[in-house]
Amino acid sequence: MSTASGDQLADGISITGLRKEFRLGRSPVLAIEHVDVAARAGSFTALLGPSGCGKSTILRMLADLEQPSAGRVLVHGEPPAEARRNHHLGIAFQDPALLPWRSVEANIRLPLEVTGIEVASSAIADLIALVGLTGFEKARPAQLSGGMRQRVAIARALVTLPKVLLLDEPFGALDEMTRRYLNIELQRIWMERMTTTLLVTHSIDEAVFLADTIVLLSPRPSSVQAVIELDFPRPRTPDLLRTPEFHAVADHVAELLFARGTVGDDLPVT
Amino acid sequence: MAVLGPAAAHSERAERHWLEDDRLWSVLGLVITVVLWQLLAFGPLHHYLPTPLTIARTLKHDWHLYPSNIRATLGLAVRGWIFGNLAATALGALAVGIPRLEVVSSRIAIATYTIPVIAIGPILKVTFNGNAPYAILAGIAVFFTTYVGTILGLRSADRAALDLIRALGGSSFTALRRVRVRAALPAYFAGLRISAPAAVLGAMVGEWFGANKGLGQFMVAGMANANEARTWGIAIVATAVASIGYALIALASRLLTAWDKGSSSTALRTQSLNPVLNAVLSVIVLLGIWYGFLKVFNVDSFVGKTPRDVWRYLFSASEAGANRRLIFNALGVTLRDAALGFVVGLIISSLVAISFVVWRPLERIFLPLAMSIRSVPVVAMIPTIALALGGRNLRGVVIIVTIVVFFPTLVLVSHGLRSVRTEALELMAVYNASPRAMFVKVRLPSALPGFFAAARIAGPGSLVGATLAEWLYSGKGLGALILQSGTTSKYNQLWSASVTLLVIAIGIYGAIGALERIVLGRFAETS
Repeated sequence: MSTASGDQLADGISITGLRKEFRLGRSPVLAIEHVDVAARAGSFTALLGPSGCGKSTILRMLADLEQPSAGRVLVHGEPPAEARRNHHLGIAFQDPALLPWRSVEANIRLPLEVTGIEVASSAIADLIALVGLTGFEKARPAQLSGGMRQRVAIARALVTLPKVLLLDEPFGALDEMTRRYLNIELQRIWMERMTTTLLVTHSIDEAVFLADTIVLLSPRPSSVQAVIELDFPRPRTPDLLRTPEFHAVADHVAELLFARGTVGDDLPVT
Repeated sequence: MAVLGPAAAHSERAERHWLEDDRLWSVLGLVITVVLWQLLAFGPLHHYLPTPLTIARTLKHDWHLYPSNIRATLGLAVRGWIFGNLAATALGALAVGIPRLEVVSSRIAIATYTIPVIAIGPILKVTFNGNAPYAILAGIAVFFTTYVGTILGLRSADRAALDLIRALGGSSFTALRRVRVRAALPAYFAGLRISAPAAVLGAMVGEWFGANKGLGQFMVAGMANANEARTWGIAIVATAVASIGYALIALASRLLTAWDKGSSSTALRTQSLNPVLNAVLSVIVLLGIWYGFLKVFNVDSFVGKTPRDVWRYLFSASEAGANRRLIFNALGVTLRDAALGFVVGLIISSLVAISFVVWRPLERIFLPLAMSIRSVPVVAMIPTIALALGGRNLRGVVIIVTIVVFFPTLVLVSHGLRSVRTEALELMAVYNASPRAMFVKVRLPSALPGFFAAARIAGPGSLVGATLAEWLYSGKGLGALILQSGTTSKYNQLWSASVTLLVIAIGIYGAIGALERIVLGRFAETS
């Protein structure tokens, strides 16, 4: 089921007819065949698909880090390059990419220094509290655990009050328990701010737990395989993970993912 | 946890590299350099540089003189290479087996690396006969890298693999044979590879102390005759000989370690002792080697001076004040020139490295050339450079030191500037950071480790370069004084000056190391 891109449906993130080719040596490789995504402002969308299906590439095109070969991409009505210039984007990668010589506080402050955006002087302390790192303001990244570093990265992504938050497998390198915990935290943070969010993930549970909408991508060359709307009430709690409804959706998604049988070696992991 | 799709990562990276063949760029760099050289040597620099064509013609004309000289230098280099590497391997293996020994052995290794050749060349010359002193200098030149390679290698065995052998009931000998030795090969060969050019360098510089054949001797003779084109020809041939050695070992290492994915670092992390304790230990080890050397080789007391003799000469004898003045004045000249060359060399190489980052094609054209020059024994080219500077240059020593410092630091600083994580740069891009902000906030701080690695190499290098240049070019400073003392048989003066130089060299190395520790504690990624 592919979404029609009514303008109202897509005032957050709008991707239409997206196509992306890479060159591998001399031969072109079609990475993304045709992708449409429409997300409302303030919604939480998860891009889910097998490894190598190009979901990170889609996110990178939204961040103006890569250019589409064809098609149109808009974030809050702006082309990515414009959104970037206007400092409307926030981003976090799988690698927290903290600068090792800066403290937690100084790392979170970095986007402000770069963009010249001014926020209330208490904003950074509030963000540190929001991601649960009060008391670690002066700590260096090397002194933090993997989960804590990732929280710093998320706080940093939020500090400029972006219109769109782009999360590229931010919890992909963490252990299952930390990941679950941070999923709950992320939902709490998101509910406070209601920033339009796109999360790239290969975890079915994570996508089902967090998203309003899951966009399921097929293996390369990728296209939208299904769009799944989730209406579990918020705030979603760990109890949700044990309900039959949750499992029904997760099983349905898994079925769709494995149905093609072309996933190969790179199995998605829950 | 599942790994990010490797296929995706590949295709993204492949996009950036599709039209690029690095060999093409490096050939372009070589061509540009030769053409530029020809133009400069023909035009504004014709007093200083012979043109490549003249060099080629002279090389052809001189060709019959080369075989015997190459053979002589190779003989020394190979002997030094074999014995130096055997000693370094044995000491490294011992240090891994008996960790307590490392306090001493690492200091010996660092001493061999820090010692300015000129501080021991004359002493070796008066102690040993025939070609032995020159071969020993070649051996000392290879010692450090092989020692480091051995230690890093033997320690690089995968913990899990060792545990597996233990769990299967294997002895530590089985572990050594089946895991440690195999795992050690990549790092060990990384050390050996550098040791081939180093042996040639050591042999050539050794020959300056009075060998009657060899490329080094040939070069000094060419300098004495003011035969510029010939010294350049010798420099090129010496470089070729050194490169062939490097290539042969590289080939052997590729055959023997085909399974390795190419992770070879050559940094030695000595245990983090406090700097004062460190210096005290170094002095004790040094005194031990000194006494041991005199005892083992039974050096005649007229020639071989003990620490007590040096103390008397410098501090307790009636003319000690005058002696001190003589040596410290010379030291002042050396330190001034070395420091100036060190700073200027580092600044220039940093600026060039920065321009590489700012304008990528420049890097692709010239970095490969700089990298290959790095494995060339630049110090052995001092006669060539000295002759090019002519007798006109007051700052000649500084210029020579600058050149000696420039090449190794250029490569390390460029690597440092490129060692930034892509994610950090992308993050900055998403916030539309200006190139300046990107540079100041991300690139520069993350290049600091590379910068200090460069400074650690350039520090001893600048002293070696300065003292050799003083001997061969300016005739002033500690380098010249040491040589004079040797030839005029003032052995107390010789030993005192040499020891002063040695202590200063070790002190400088230690000081840079201490500064590095402070800075890296703040800027390096230690997770």
